Amino acid sequence: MKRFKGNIELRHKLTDIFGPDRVREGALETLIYSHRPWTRSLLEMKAGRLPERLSFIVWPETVEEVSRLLRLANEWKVPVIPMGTGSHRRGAPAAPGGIACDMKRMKRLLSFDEDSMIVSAQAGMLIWELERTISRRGYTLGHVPPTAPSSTIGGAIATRQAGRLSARYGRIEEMIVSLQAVLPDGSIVKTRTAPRSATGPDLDHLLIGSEGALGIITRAKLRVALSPERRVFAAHAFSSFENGARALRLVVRAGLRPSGARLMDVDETRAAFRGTKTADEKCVLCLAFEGREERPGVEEEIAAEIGRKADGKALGEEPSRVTFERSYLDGFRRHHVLAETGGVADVMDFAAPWSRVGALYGAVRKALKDRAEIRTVLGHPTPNGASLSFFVTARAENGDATALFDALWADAQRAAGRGGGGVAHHFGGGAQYAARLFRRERIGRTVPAGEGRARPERDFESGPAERGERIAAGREATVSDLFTRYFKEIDYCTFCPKMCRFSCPVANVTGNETYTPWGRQTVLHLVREGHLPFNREAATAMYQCANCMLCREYCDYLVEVPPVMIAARAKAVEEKLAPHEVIEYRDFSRRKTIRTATTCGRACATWCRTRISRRTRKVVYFAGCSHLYHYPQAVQDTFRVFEAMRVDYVACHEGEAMCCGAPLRELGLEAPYKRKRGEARGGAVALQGDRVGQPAVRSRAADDLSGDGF
Amino acid sequence: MAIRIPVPASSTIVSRLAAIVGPEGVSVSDLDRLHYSRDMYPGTLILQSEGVRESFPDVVVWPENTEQVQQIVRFAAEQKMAVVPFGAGSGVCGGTTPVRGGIMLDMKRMSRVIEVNDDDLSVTAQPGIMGQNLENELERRGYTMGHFPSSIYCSTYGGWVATRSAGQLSSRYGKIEDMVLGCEFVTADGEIRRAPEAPGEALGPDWRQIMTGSEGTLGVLTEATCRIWPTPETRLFVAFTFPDVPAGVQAMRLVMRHGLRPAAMRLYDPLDTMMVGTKGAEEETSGVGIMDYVPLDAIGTKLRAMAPKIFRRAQRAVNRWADVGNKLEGLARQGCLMVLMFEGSDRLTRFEFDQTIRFCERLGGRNLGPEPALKWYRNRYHVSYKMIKVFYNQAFVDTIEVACSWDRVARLYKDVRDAIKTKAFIMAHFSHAYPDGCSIYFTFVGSAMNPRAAHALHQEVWRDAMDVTVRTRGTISHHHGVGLSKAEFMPRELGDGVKLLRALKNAFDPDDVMNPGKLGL
Repeated sequence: MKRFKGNIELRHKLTDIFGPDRVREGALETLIYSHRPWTRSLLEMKAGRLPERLSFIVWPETVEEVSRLLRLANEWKVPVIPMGTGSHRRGAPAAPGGIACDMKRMKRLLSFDEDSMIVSAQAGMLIWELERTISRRGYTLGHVPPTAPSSTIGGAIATRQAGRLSARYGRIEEMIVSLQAVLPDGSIVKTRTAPRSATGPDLDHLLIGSEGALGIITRAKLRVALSPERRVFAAHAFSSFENGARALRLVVRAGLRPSGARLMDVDETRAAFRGTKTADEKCVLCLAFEGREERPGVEEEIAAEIGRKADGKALGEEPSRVTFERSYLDGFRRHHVLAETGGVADVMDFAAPWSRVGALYGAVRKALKDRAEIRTVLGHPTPNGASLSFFVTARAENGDATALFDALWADAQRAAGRGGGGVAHHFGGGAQYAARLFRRERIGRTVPAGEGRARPERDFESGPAERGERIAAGREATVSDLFTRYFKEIDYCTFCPKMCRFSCPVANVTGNETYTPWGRQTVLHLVREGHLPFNREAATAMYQCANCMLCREYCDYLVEVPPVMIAARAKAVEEKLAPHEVIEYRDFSRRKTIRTATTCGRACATWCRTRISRRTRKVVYFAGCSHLYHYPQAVQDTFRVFEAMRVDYVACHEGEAMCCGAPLRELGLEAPYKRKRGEARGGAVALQGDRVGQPAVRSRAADDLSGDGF
Repeated sequence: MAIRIPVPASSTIVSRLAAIVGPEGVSVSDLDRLHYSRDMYPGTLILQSEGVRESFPDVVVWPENTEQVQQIVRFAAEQKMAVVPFGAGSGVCGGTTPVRGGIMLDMKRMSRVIEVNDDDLSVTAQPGIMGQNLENELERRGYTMGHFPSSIYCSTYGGWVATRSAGQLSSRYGKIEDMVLGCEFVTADGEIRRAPEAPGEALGPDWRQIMTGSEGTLGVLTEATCRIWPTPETRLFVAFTFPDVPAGVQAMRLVMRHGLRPAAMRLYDPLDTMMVGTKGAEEETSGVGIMDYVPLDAIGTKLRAMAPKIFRRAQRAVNRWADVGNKLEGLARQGCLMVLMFEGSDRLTRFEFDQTIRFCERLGGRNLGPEPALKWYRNRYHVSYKMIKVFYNQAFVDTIEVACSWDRVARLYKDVRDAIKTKAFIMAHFSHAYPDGCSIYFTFVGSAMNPRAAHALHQEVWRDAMDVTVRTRGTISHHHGVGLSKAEFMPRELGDGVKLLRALKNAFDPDDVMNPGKLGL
């Protein structure tokens, strides 16, 4: 394929369309954009084989820009890869030398017609962002793909995703009212918007599942549903997988629409309920119903009756609740295996009509069982069929994990074809689909349903669900620790399909994959493995993190990316690769005059100074330099509150003695930071009383000064 | 004026085709070709008595299996002859009009039910089976497909799929595109292709959705698998009247929005309410029955037979449908009738039924009990029969089924009515409701001093209605299809989407062999 890398003329043309800020061709970014978090590409990377790079990345903001891009691409005969968040687990086609068209800056909610329950949004909007917005108004999209937090609307449509609640809310294509897309020749197409129409083929379906091959989806109108008022759980145990499948079939056949339905085989039951009584059961069917008023209860009772008739044993609601509250751990298990043992792990999905589910189950297991451990879940039931997910883990005996991976997939597919799985039947020539057979992945968390909740819930009802082991290694690591102490952090993030992506402010503002936690950690992974030099570009990427720790909130392993970044920044400073702004800040912080005169209003400074004179008070208030700088009014208001409450307090101003040095540390300036901390120690220890203050300062003080009487 | 039937296909062509399907499977007789020259498009019906027929097939062929279809299509492609797949010809859009002559491919000899699968709840059948026969066959075995278009007696299974049909119980069972699990068809290049049968395939574009509604322009359907349901345990009826259209529409919207699935939910506008009546089934005369209204019929059939032309002219002279409509409008004071029907498994159905009644009562609906709904159910296919009488009496009747999202339903209803009511008698009902919108089904009756003028009026009404619909961003057809009659509106309906459609056509059928002229292609 022709390379366009460094092509100045093409860059100029792209810059004409997007402006200089929205065209990139850096080696690092193009590499990150060429890499995908799917198992095979991870294995390749582990083996040291890097993907071929793209030439450019562009971030369109309007549909016209997309159109101009495609016209230009046609003229130059350069491939264009539309991208959402790149969380697709089956790997989008690589196009070395092409242009990645990153849609994430087209992320606006355009309209929400509550009467018709239709929401219109740009393709780059994250599904969870949309869910969050509409849930405040009492609606839900009901689409929870396994990669829910990191899927864009456009990506979900282009890959024809099935969400975890598909039995109740339908698959993504059933939610689509109409689409706007740019065809390969650059023309902009809008499909009709009626609830249903008989004017010819449903053209939406040319674009749905087309993976960008037939056009770039820029906007979608989607149907939403009313948020459920309640959820009901139920679990039943069956003596065999066949009996369980029969019961589930009868449930959907009766017209029930469970929001969650998972039938686990013996192996999965044992693994999923390890350590509980339920693990002794043979096959467990977990059901969840949701809806308004008494409906979920009525549906559950009907289902219970069906379960009883099918010789099921009612297990109560607990196993089911646990199952659906469990987060994405399933998905991570395979990463775990990968990271730990150098083996292979993946999920293989095959759909089949009910009459062939049993044969499919047997055939795939038989084909793989000698080489791999297989656990199976039956889900996504419709009255006509369901899909089987095989969780396959294996160890590469001879060390060639990629070959093992390919062999397992090939055998599974062949077996599925014999067993009557979906892949056996397809339209037209087989070869064109062969490469694309690896698609749906359907484990995941259940949809956030509550109204007005601040963030996507981790579970149905309760607070933070049980998480996996905490691997956070702590916050203080030096340059030398970076690749040892944070080894696991770096690997876990590298192997993750960007579950926290939606929460990262930097990723959201820039819309750049390199600047996601996943992207930055992948850079470190590659550096560590010697695939990538730690150069100025990589160093700059390490600074694209606001240290807000939101990513940790959405990580089941509580991986903390910021400390890793800080250590990496220290590396950057040490190797003299830090951006010039950092060096400027270092010099700035050395100047003695910076304190009150420039960073804090004069009035505020007076307030502070008068109160620090007395050293013993009940309350010691740490205001924090960024608060003093940006929100002096807030600090003064706090003082007024203290006074109104007659609190005996003292405020620490941000003078030299009390600077905690956090900004320096966060910029990777270790030496100046240590100096500051030493100075702070003297001041802090002298102060007695209960300490309150701006959360960041308090936590910093608690962390950094804990050895000093804090 | 005698109809001039053009010369049929040459004997070479006939013998080549006979070699494929046997001599019994081919016909070039004038009569056969005459009967395949039209479907139920009212525009042609209006001109029926004038003897105007514009296009005829060169030859009619009845294949008996997929391989024969394949060979016929290959032969046609080689000869560059048009192929028009034909089910039962009940379409109202001219979808089977052989505009370029060619081969009329009647599928009705392929009418076997291949398999009814209890586990999968699916039926696999050949496309030529008549709708009611298929339903009977399923009923005998304890199932229903849930697809009940009012044309069920006169349309085929394949025709449903090809035209994106919707049945009267679509709110509960879905439309045909929701039912198709898999299909097999022969494309213009002579290949037999199968769309996947596994539910929820994720392998690229969903070809079932491309073929459903393609009206034979991309290929010939040779087999289809559809989902079925066990015969419902319970069937419940109720009817309401609402003070006006917006109140009734509001109730429909709320029912759908809360995820309830009535088998049927139909709201009649005041005029239509007057026609169907709000009384029960015993009192068949409760409605005005305007479709039964026959001007000058009292004079008797004798006169009609003696001097048909004069009689017809006299009838046309007294046919004043637009005026009748406007007069009646002022008299319609019964409000709007809504009929509801629920069916399915016992407990869930009853639960939804009760909830729906609560919604309707809360929104000002007056509960009329089950009778009016039962009456509708018994007469549900009757609309097709009434058409005959109207045409017989020198007027014409046609239906316009549009759809749009809820926020525009009231406006679309009013705008179309306003545009048409000076030209014809027009009434409407709202049905096929969805969480995001519903369909409006207009029935209009008109007449003119002569068939040519009537035809012109008919065209004018359509153009106006389509114009208003496109402007209101509704779809120009909810379930009748496009065919020939709406082809001219397709560019406005699809906008640039026409490009996609054109690309599909070029990919499957570059020589424009398959059902030319339809879908605006």
